[in-house]
Amino acid sequence: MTFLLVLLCQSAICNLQSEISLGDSLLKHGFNHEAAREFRSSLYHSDSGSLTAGLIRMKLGLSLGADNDLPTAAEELRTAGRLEPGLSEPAQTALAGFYARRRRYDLAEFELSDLLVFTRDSTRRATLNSAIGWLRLQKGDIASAAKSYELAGRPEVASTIGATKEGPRRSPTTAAVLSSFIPGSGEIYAGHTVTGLLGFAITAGSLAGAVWAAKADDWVSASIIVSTLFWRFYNGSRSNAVAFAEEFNAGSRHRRVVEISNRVVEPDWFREADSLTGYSLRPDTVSVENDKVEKGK
Amino acid sequence: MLVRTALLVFWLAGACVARYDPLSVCGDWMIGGYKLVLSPLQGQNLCNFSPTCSQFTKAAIRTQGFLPGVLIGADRLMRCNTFAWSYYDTYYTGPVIDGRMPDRVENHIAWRSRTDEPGLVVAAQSERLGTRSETSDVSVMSRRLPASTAPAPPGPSLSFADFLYSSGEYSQAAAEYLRVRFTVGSPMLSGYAGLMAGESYLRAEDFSGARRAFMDLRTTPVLEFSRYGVGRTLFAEAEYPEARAALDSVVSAPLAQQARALAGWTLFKQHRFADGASVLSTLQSALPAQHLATMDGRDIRRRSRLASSLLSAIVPGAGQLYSGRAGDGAYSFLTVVGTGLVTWWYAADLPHRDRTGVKVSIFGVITALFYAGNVYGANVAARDYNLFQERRYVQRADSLFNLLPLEPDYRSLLDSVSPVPDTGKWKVESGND
Repeated sequence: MTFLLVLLCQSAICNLQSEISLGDSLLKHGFNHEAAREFRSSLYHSDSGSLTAGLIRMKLGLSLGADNDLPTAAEELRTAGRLEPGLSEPAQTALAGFYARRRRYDLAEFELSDLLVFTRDSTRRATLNSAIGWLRLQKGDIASAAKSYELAGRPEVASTIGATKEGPRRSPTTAAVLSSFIPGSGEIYAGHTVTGLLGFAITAGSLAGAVWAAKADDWVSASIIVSTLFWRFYNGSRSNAVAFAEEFNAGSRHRRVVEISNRVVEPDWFREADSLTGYSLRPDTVSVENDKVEKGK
Repeated sequence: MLVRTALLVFWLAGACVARYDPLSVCGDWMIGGYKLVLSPLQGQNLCNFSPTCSQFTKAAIRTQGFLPGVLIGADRLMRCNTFAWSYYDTYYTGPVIDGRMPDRVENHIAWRSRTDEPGLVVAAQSERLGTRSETSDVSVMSRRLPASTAPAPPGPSLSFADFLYSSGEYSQAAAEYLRVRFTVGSPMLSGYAGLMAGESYLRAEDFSGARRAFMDLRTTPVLEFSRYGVGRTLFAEAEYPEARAALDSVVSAPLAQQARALAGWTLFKQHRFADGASVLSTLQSALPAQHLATMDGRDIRRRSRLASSLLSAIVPGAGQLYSGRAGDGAYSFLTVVGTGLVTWWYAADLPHRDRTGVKVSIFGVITALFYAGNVYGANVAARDYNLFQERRYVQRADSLFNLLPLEPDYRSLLDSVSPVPDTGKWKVESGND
């Protein structure tokens, strides 16, 4: 997959042009915006150029992706694939690499799955499946990641994934039900002890105060205490319990992903794409933001 | 007794104006404590405004003093209800932040005007800056020479700049136009390229770049165009007095009318409708301009702030209803009347009368605060209603102004230039293609 990327572009460059163009040098040295301008300029003057329009568009797409303008880059890379069918695979791979770099693992996985549909060669399918497995792992979708690795012919990774235990889980429904009966207990169940105790104190205290007022036959005070204090904090305790349980599950899933990533030695499928673009497409190490990004989407 | 009352009055007066008086600091601590302890226990995302009600009250106390701050906060508590979402984009304008509507303290101070400025019009304007097809057709100099065998490094090319402009790459087009401007010999062509660079910067919303590009043309033959360009840039940046100053310096015939019309638009944007209408009435008649000359702001519906406050003083919530916010009025009515009823209940000579007076005083103070906050809020609501009506008026004027031909006609610059590329004259083209 990535070898193809390099091979195609290098052969195109070497056969058709004896020198490295200005745009390629700019891209290699990291001047992405200027490289994009140069490629656009050579696109405009393309009837005199030695590179085909598809290849220029692809390089334009690569420089735009490096410049973090992903929507335009996607458009250019797809156009390149349409203009020259041979370039569609490297273009889609590069696009997937850019998405992965921006931690949009869902989009990257989509691009590679799309590519998988049209790929016949078994070695290429294996590398694609391996990359898809890695992306699914980063997304937190561990079960389908294991399946992808098995399809890729890497059962040892799948068994490594299977060997890691699923972390502790807190059910949001249980937390909600617990909190409905004893306010604050659901929050303690989901891991936030102090909040749970405080919630219990306030809810129980307000209820006690209301009962005391009712016993003194002061129903007005009792109803005010119940309708303002008790009602608000009782509902708040329940919704907090659900939120904390979901947060607990996300954290445990994330920890499992980190553990698997540390144990799985992943071939550097970004390296070839890096050498083409001249800069690192490698995403940063897995960090806490992943799950937050995923939840926020 | 008299001395104690006087001290109390002085203390309250000081509380109103000082910012670090003990009351304000205590208020800060109390709200801070609430935020740390009680707020997390009530669940997340309860307030539908962006500085949440507690943050809002804290900021109000900090900036306006304790008593005004508490009143502003009380008004906010009554406004923070489900009907607030129906007032989005009329009274609460701005982007939704994190699922909450924006509502800052500065917009609710009755004795000052709001800080949110009329929105920039570049987006609307760039539809009409749309001499897209015109200017890209105007590159009459571009002739593609047959391809040479070795690809030469492309020099600055006006036709390439036009291509970039028409394909929407405005920042790159600006750079290319600037390259053409400083390499070409003819002053007219150089001026055209400089103006198009300014246009591209304007479209790319790089206003400082646009101003630089336009102001750099002051010593060239395209002086009038450059002044007009500066005026348009300042208009797009919403700096209306400066835009007017720049536009008033445009005096030559084809652009003077457009400059007057744009100056009139700046007056409309600043809500000075009478002045704007009078400026437009001096223009030669184009149909939209004639209608605009009649829009002098007298036909805007307004609400009296005093009447709104008085209504709310008599019936809580009536002022908000008068100012177009029925939902807020209903909530205010329920809050004030509810707390008032509770106070009355405790104070009345009934079997469960509060004999120690604690509950009466607590709820009495709460009722008084909400009542005063409601009257204050009615005043601000009337002001917001008037602002909203004026904004709608400005939008109507905008739609008429968009029909006026306010874009400069750069084509006329090139009419003086020979359309046939001469290799001696147009050295910009010789290295290309």
